[in-house]
Amino acid sequence: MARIKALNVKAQRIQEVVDRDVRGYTFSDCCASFAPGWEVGPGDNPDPCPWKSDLTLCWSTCYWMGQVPDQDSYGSWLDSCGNINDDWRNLCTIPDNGQ
Amino acid sequence: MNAPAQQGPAPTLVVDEVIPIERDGVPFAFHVPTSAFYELDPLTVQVLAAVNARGSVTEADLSNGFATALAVPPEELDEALRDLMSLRLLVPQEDRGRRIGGDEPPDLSKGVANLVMHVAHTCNLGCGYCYAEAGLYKGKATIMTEQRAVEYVDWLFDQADPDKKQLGLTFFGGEPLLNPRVIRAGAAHAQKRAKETGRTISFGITTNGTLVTEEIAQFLQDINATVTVSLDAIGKTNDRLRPFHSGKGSYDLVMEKIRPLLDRKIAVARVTVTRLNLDVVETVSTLLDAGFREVGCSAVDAKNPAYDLDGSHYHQLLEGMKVLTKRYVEHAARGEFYGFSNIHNIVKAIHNGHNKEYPCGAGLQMVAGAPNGKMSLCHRFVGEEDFVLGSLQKGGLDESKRKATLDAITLKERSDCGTCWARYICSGGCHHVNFLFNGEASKTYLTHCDWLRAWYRTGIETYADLLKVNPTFINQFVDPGYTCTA
Repeated sequence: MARIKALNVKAQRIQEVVDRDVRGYTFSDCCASFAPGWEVGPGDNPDPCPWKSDLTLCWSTCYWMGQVPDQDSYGSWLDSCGNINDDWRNLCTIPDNGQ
Repeated sequence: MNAPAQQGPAPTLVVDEVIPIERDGVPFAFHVPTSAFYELDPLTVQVLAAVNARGSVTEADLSNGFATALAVPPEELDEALRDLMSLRLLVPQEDRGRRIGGDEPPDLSKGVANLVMHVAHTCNLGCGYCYAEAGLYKGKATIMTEQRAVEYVDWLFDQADPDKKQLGLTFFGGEPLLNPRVIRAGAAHAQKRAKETGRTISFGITTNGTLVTEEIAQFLQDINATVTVSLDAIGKTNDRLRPFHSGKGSYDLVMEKIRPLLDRKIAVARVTVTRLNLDVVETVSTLLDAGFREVGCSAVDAKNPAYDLDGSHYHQLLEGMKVLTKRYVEHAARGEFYGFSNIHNIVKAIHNGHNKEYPCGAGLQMVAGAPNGKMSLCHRFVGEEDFVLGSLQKGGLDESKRKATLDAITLKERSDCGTCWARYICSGGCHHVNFLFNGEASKTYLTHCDWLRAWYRTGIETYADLLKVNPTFINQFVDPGYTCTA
């Protein structure tokens, strides 16, 4: 938010939702599963492109943590597929270390 | 413009319900539907003003000369529009005023967490404006039995959902200290039940102060009670408002009797403001100097022209409250707390973005219990049969009546409030004031609305001032968990 500063608690919560909304619609992460049912986007607005939510919201808003690697143990798991436009062929799985 | 992707025709945008505030040249905006509070930059102020001047703005306006008319580069205008639309300060016309993210009322199925226990329906003072009519509540002088107090405590603990870990018990009257034995018995039983059920219990008491002793003050400190002493003014003005039944004034006696409370720093004062005691600056400052932790003022609801306030009285009251607010901010700048409760409470409400359908917890989180076992919407409604929500004899609250009563007094039912910018802060005001003056709890008492709006505006301005003069004050005294971004 470049031009407006959220001051009270309610404003900051709204800004968090807005920021999350924006992150949800960018192709910065990927997920190998689909999350059906995302007809409505955060903030109570109709989601203009729910199929993107299938790809992204499962991670960035913790919709289903089991679908992505544990971020503490595998912090670099997205390195080879961080840009979905360029890296869409990569599966981005975590290494099988036999455990 | 780079607005979020839209489906269908582009909407006509209007400025949402926004209250502009300016402090020392810095523009702020209070967003009514969410109670969010923002600091704006000059361009967003300019855009809002331009849209307001036109009434609305369309996609065609934006692509045809809007940026030129404002004399700003298109990319900067896009950025401003994106911010304003994201935070809903600019909205599609059909969404104007749509409430979002309001505070939901508590789940009624989980019971109530607080009980106001009327241990004495009698009083040794005879204040002419008392809504309870000398503590009698339209009945005969009665005091609660110990057995009834224990039953109330058991009911409170049994009906509250196990999730409710913090329960509250307030001893009220009349004058509750006319029945100290039952207060002690009720408190002891509540502590026992709290221990058994793994909960905490907090206590409060509202007293006229005439019967406080060293021993009682020690007991109230031991149970960690919040003690509210009713005092309306200083000296003879207070005597006129708060006399004994004999007509003798009570001020000097009360100030002597409550010394053990003041020494222990466990007392706050409540000032009922009538047309006879409008000098709240003298009252509040003198009582704070005397040792009260906080002092709060409340306009009388007597429906008696000898006491009720009219427009000029409300104006005088507001001016006094603004003087006290200035002292509050001056203290805050030095990292100190000035205990004028009214401004502190409204600052807390603005900070949290208070946005509610109900003005208080009456019937939602709290009910009042009379000596006869009947439970009412709140302490002020005791004695009004239409607002009895249940009784101990019938096993507690009648949930269908509770729901019907609450449904009838929600903000949605207050047609007079629909266009007021302060409606989600005030939520229609005190149910009892509305009932007393208009005969219906759901019909807003409009006489004090101008005063309330002016006071809430002062609260918003004060919040902005605090963020400027000492942002850490918010962390210290308003919300210890807050990370200030100002």
